[in-house]
Amino acid sequence: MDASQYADLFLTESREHVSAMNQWLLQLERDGAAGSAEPISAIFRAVHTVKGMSATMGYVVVAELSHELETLLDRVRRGELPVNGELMDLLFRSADVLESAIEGAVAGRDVSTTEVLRRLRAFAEPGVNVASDRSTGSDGASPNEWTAPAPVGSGTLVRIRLAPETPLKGVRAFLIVQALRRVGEVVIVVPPVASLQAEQFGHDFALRIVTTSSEAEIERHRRRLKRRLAQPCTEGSGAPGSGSRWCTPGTPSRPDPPLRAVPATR
Amino acid sequence: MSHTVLICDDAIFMRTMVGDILSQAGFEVVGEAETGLQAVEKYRQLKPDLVTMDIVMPDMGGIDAVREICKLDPAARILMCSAMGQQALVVEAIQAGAKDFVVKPFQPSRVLEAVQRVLG
Repeated sequence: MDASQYADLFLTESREHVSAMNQWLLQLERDGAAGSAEPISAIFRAVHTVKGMSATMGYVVVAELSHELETLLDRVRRGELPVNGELMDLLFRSADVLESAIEGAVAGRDVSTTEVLRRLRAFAEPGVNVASDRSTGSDGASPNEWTAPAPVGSGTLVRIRLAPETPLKGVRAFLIVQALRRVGEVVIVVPPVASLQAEQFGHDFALRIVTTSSEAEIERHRRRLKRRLAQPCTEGSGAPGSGSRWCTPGTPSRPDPPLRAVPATR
Repeated sequence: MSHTVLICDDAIFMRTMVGDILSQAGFEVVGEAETGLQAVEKYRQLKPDLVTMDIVMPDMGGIDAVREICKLDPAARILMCSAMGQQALVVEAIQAGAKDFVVKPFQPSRVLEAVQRVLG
């Protein structure tokens, strides 16, 4: 999309948000975990706004980084992750990389965010990449457990979870299966595609795919799918000037990662 | 150069709203259609980068229009605009060649994200 007319505005505003983020980080470092609620919320909002703006601008590197950062901050905000020295290091580092990514995006050069993304994901969800088939217990009460049984057979096991408020989740699941069919041969889907279409599933499903793509390529597909499927609310921070005419202000965002593929462990 | 858009919906309100969202995000709305037949005809004339397509429209519905447009141009990028409860129709539209969908009531952010998925 041609958003060049908004690039200057994006740059100015994003710099302000990164600057605010750094100020709040200093305060967070000074006050520690006890007084963390306000700084964490403020940093979350700054990152969320940058995310909305960068996504609208099509600056995927910035959008992806701010999305991961937002996911982590949300978990810190909810008390699921500790405010400690390791987190502070990571947040300062993230602010630096975010700033470079913003400048880079506007200038048209790519800034590598791989290392900080890896650290953010590792901190937010330790062990996510080593999840195995064993997580399919019958007590599917926890939202982080897979409810769809893993299909048996050949090919790589892929598990997909949709964000809780995904509109028309059956159709979205169908689109994902369609997209994966372009990556390789989808040999089995659980629950079957007809059930997915009829919305007869929880929030996750599983499939096996036979593909000549390497693990690294599958991972790349996974990242791309995840990025493309993320549907967070960014009301009021979307298109400049769009205001909130068509939105319900105050709708909370759902930064939960909507899709997760777990290669089968062999 | 901005992406061009053809907006297909029988309701003026919806066309205006979708048009505002997209033009404020830098798209150029090059045409509007009130019926499926008009949608096909305007696609033929305008060859837009993106089509937003309502499902229920007079004379020719959105799904048939998707089918006809994809016959003209298999690479057509069409975003379906659906209401809740139309999942079977949306699946049918995707099988006919639509690339993605948004669900009413529209939120600008969702519309723009779906548009980026279609164009991406």
